[in-house]
Amino acid sequence: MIRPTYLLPLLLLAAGCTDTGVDATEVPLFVHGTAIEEPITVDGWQVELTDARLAFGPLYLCKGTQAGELCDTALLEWLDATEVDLLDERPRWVGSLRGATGTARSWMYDLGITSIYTESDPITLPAAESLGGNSVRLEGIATDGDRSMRFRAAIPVQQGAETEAGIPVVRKSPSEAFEHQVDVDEEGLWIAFDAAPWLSQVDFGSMYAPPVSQTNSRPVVIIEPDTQPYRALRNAVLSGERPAFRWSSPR
Amino acid sequence: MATVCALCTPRAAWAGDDEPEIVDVETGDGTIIDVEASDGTIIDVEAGEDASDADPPVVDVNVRGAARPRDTNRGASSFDIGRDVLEAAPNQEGAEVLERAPGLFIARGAGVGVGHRYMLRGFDADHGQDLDLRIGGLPINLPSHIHGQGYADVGMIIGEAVDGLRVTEGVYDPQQGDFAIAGSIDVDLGVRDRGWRLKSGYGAFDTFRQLALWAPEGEARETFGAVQYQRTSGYGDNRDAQSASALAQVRFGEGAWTYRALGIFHGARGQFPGVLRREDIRRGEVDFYGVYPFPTAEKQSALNARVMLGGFADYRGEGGDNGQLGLYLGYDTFRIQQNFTGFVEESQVLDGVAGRGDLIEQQNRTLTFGLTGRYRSKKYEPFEWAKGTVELGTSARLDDIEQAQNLIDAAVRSQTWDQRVDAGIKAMDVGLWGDLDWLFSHYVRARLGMRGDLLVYDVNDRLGNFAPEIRPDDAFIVGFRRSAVGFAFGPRASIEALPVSWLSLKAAYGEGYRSPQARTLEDGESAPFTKVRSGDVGATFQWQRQLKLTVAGFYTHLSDDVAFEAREGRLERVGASRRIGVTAYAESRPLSWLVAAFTLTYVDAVLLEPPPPTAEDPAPAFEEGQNLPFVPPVMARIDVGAKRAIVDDLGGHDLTGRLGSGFNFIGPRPLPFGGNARPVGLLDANAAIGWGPFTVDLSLFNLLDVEYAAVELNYPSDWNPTGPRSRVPARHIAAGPPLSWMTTLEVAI
Repeated sequence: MIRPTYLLPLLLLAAGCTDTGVDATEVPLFVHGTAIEEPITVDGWQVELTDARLAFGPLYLCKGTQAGELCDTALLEWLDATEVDLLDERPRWVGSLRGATGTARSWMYDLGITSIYTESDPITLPAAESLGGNSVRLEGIATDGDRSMRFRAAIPVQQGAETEAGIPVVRKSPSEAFEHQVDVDEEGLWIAFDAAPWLSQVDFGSMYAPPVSQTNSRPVVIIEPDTQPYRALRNAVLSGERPAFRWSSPR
Repeated sequence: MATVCALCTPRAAWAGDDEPEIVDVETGDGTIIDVEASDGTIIDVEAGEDASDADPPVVDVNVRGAARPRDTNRGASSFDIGRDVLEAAPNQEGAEVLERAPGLFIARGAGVGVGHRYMLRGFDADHGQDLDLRIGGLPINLPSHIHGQGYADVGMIIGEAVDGLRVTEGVYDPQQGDFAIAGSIDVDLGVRDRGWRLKSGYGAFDTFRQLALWAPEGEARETFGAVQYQRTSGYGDNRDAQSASALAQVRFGEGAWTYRALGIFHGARGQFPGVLRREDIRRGEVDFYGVYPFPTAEKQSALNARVMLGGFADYRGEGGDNGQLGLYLGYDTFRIQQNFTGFVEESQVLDGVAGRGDLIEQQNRTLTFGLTGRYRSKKYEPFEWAKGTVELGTSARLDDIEQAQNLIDAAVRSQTWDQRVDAGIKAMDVGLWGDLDWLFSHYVRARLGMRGDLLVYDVNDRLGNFAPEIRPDDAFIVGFRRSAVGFAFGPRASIEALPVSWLSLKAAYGEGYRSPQARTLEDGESAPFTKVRSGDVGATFQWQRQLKLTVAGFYTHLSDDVAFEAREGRLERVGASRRIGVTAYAESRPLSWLVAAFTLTYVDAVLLEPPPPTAEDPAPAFEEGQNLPFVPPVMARIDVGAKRAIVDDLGGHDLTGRLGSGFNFIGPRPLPFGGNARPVGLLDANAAIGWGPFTVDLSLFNLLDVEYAAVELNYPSDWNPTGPRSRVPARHIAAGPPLSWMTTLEVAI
């Protein structure tokens, strides 16, 4: 028998137990690169990356299988951007994804340069500014027999006239597998980037020019826009090899 | 001359074959006594010159008139709230008298230009979609309103002119029509204290209020005129507001036919700061009572102007038969500029235009013609143990609605940068009902009614078929004209038993409806009504005047609920829902100068069939089995008022004192996308002292200075125009008023 004096507190207690279906949550976010032990072979060229950096963020995880315009309401978001050393495989905590519990089925992100409705041109976040206003910066040495060169690429990846303003540029396609039930006690999300596959479509031969002097046997080639290597790299970063998403520590 | 018992119980009234009545005193000089009618209404009766000293206390009096020939108390959750309860605690505005209705909470989130949000026993009725509101018999809800179906702004209420509330929670009376989903409230207008009354008030935030009220001596209580003006700078930022209301009502005629004419005028315009993200408040980017520092936020405002005129002819036959014929005319204009989402919208009309601020402009104009009519027969008595009446009634209205929704750029002289709605709607609702009201012996009363409504729609959607990215714009002319019709039908039944004189047991079942927003209808579609099935079981205990206690359990099932969608600033369908709960209401008058009322409502409101994920909406905000968003499971209110003479005959007049207090508790409200709005407890109090024609009152509102959200929502927005866009749902609040005061000088002549 419940005494009447207990009734009101019990009701108030019950009032605090409403089921809203989802809970607010934060998920620690870690990013890291991939150590490349051996030179990468691309059409006979041995390519060694000496420096590879990426501006990464903001990142959104969505409930639908297709991100983009259909992700007006995201499940989790990280609105910052950070510089990722693509050759360093040590995870680095960069912040937390904030949102709610539920099933994440797609993702989308920008690379340090993001389009917002209030600006006619995409804005450059500090992570990209540190890369000279670019999303990705790669430096390395490419060697094919006695041909050798240093190369350097700095590529901004951003929305343009052909893309939808206000929507992150890198998006999971519907055919890619990605699904995770996000709970309140997630350990974290680890995102690993691997720059090596991005080089696979680069025509290093088209970049090569014989040295003009004996003192500089390895000329530095700047990969310019509107060249095949530039387009290949940009396409690879945009839609080539995807980063690996893990919901537990890789170690 | 008539003989009136000093305390008529419901059973005594039945035994006398009388309907509950309100009676006005006519003439005579002598002592004032209270008489309680069978519906609980307290009546002042002035004894005639031949009042006797007989014991038991029976007096002869002259009485005149009977104002309520029709009993609306059907289910256990039907309540008549009297004037003494309404004025026990202070009100910041007249509309707050509605909060005395058990289980009802009202809040203003957008200033005086926008109607209140209503929450009633498990329903978030938004601006009135689930609550049928009437003032002086005139329907307030506006169908297919751009700002919310059934939009009902009761800002025109002048508290001093409210004589009582008739609250029917559930839908058990066949007279209840459109929007009576959670229930209905009739605000009866009338002034008991006759003469002139002037009130001037000044209070916190440079708030000024002026009231002039006249109630001619010797006329019926329903005859009065009142005008009110109020302005304020408002608490915090961006809350300047002004409003005015004028109410005039006259009852005239003698004999079987009497007449009532009523006019209501109301106008208001107010700025408001809109919603703020809780996270931005926590980080100190914006003050709790502040506004975002962008034109698209600072230009938020709303305007409302409404006129309603009504005429009613009331018939009372000598045999107890009665009826009413009413005609009314209304015009309402509404305009709001409101930004919920910051900077996330893009134009659907202009290519490549986005981010100019999501300042939604909504306009709505409604012209309404309506009539009501009913006739209740004389009492039939086929058997000694069975007698009753039959009633037939009708209600009809035609609404001519023009509405638009645009996006405007507040930074560039309110340029229109997108069009979302441009439509004209003709809507007609013709309803017919029948009602049997029968007594079986002295112990059981049964009522059985039916109601049917035919609704006809003619929609001119001037932006219909607009799809700029799919078809060339020279392939067709934009527009989509369509018509639709629908028929809603449902029974209303109740039974009441009186095993003993102090106990009434009631059970009721009814089916009601809510009309659709006309723009959602397809051509030729059988207009889909939202149907509610409602059941109540409860008991009322009455111990003379000292205590009246009602406890009622209820169940409601709604075929298609709606919830607020911030991006469009309007309601969207969310699927079927149900509510199970209990309401307790107690009124106590332990002493002649003391009145108290207490109500507690607990409800479990659950969403049954939320919309499935679709390609367009892969992440719906609602899940099966979750508690309904915005609905507080627990609501409670306490009112206490005391009024008595402090010093007798001080310079020819008594010195009177009055104390009052009201406390509201709103439990945590579940929100879309998770989380609960914080619970709120609000305490108001006042003290007044009166001498002769003068009264000075000091009222304090939100005495505990609780920092609370009048409205709390959860949805994605982006109020950072210089950084990456946020896309996850975030808590947004519209701040409720902090501690404030108002002092008022009243002169009554």
